[in-house]
Amino acid sequence: MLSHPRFDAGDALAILTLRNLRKHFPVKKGVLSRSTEWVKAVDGVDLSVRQGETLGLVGESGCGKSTLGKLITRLEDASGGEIEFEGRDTLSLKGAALRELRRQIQTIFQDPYSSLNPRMTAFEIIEEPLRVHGVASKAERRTRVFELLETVGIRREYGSRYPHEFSGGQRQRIGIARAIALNPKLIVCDEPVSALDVSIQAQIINLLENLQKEFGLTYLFISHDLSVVEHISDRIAIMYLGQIVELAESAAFYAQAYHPYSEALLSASPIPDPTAPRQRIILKGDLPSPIDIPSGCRFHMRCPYAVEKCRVDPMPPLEEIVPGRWVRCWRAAEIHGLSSGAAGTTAPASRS
Amino acid sequence: MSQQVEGGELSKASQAAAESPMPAAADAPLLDVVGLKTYFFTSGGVVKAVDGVSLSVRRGETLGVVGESGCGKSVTALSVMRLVPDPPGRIVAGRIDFVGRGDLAGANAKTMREIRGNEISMIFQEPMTSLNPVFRVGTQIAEAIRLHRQVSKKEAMDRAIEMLGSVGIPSPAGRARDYPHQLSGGMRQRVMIAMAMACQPRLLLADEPTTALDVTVQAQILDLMNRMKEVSGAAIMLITHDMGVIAEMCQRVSVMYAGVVVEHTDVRTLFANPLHPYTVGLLDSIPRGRRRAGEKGPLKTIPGIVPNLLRLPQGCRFQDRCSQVHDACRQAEPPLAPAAPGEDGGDDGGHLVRCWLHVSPPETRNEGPAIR
Repeated sequence: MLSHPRFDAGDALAILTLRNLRKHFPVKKGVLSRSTEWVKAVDGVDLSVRQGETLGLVGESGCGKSTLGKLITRLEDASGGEIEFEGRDTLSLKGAALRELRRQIQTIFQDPYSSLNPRMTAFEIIEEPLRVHGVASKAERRTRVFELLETVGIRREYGSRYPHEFSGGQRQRIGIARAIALNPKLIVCDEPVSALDVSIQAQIINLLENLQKEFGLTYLFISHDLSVVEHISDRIAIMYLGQIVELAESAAFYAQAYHPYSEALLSASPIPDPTAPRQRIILKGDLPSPIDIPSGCRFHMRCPYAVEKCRVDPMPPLEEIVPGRWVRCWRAAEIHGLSSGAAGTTAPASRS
Repeated sequence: MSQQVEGGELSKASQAAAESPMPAAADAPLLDVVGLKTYFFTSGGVVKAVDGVSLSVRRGETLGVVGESGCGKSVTALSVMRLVPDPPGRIVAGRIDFVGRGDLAGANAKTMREIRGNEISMIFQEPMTSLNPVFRVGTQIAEAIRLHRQVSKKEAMDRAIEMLGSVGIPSPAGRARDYPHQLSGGMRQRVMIAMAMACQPRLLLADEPTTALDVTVQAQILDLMNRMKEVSGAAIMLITHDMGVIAEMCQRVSVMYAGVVVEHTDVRTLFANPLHPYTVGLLDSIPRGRRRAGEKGPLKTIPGIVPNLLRLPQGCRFQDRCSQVHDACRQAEPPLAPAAPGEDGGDDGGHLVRCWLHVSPPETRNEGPAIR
């Protein structure tokens, strides 16, 4: 891709680095199944996750955030690019090495109703990864499962119950116990609290934070909820149409988003305070289809700041415009008064 | 009270929402639900989904009904529309007074057909399942119009296209010929709103209308609902679990828990001075802005889970999760009553709470809903 030096974000701390990562799904048409079109779900992602941090990955449905999670856990094969985990390329791993990778990178899924096998007891669900990876004898596994149940706050005698006998929050605790059973280093949390009520959501967020402290876990926390991500994340990455458009320290991001899309996303998120001033930026239109990605900047059709350059020039690169803050926008520096601006135009052109 | 709520105070609270036209006689509620009980008779026992709900919607206002899954907020709305599936559900007690129509709880099927989609409309969380997949969206809106208005097919279709335009759908004449699956989630919800508003209802029941939508699309739809409200003067009963949506959209709020209203007040008082321990817990467990405010440590939570509606405890429904539970809570269920004077932070008499900590002891007051 254009202007694509090897991405490293200056990160000696990175446990996981993604470079120009791509996943294109074919759209099959007709009986001969010749694919003429591609869904570019992940289309050139550069990202690093640091050891011990929680990186919040935020985007709207269809932006590719869940596919990105599946690429990292190797549940999907990438179409191109690089994934480096602890300094090793993971895309070429096979057999025992791949199994070892999967031990170290685990997932917590969104829906605790469909991600637990209804025919297995809670005990069997948590024991399964230990059994599959053959890490302990039967007696040791039993001790470990009871220990895990206690860790996530479920009484050990409930181990013989089936998923339908638990509430949504308890099911998610079982999913978490399963994910940490093998002492992973990185956990991809894919919308882990989105299906839960607010009061239960808070319990699960606290549990995830406690486990991180206790076991030194690294989280990639995928969510569409900016309020949850603000609370749990050290850094935040905003994804739009298969790419990262902004990567920043969480506190700095919530003080001021630099990419116009991040800014709109932040302003659209309802504030639970009736006295707060409202300055909602209402974006026009819907997310374009990832099959038919607009040329130029992918956001230009909905962007209140778009100028000619955004339409005609190739996609802007993800650039570090202030230390620790990476933004994929031609005009971000200029809009936020950081430089004279390279766009050659001044007034924001409204497309309304 | 109503003048205060609907006039000066809220224009500050929610600028977009408060600009609706206010008729002079705004004090009589448009919809007045009193002691509503809707039970489901199942093989496992009687599920008391709505167990004595009292709430009212005034002309031109947005009333928020907030609560977690299973608290009975959707069943309340379905009861107003008389759309509770029977069997197993049945309205067993209470009144649903709708201005000009009397008690809907006892209304016959013909009356309800006249009211539904005409005087009271409803929009649901998932527009894909509430639109018919095999008819064009224009046809579906036109059908709703022809059901209630003596107009030709052509006139109905013209009106449908006009409505699609008014909800911000580009090239409405073309989109009217689309099937629901050809539209995005946000567009489908716009179609639902166009259909709901086509006959200019006096009341719109919106059940989690933006929960399935992305946040930028949610902003568009909330904005649209406020604009439609301004234009038509319709009142909205907005059901949601999202306190952020409540803060942005509503003038007054009823908080529900396990089948009853536990607190009711204007939106500013609710956020500034919540009284019921459940409301306090709900607001405290929202993660937004806590880190920015310098708060360290874990989020506050409400321990435990909602009680099983088949086996409600004696006394207060919130007792097992409440940090301030005491003997009175285990003996009798508190009534929904005005908060003790001086506690309600303004809006006197309008702050209702169902908690022994905030209402006078049982012997000094008479039971029953006191919504005004």
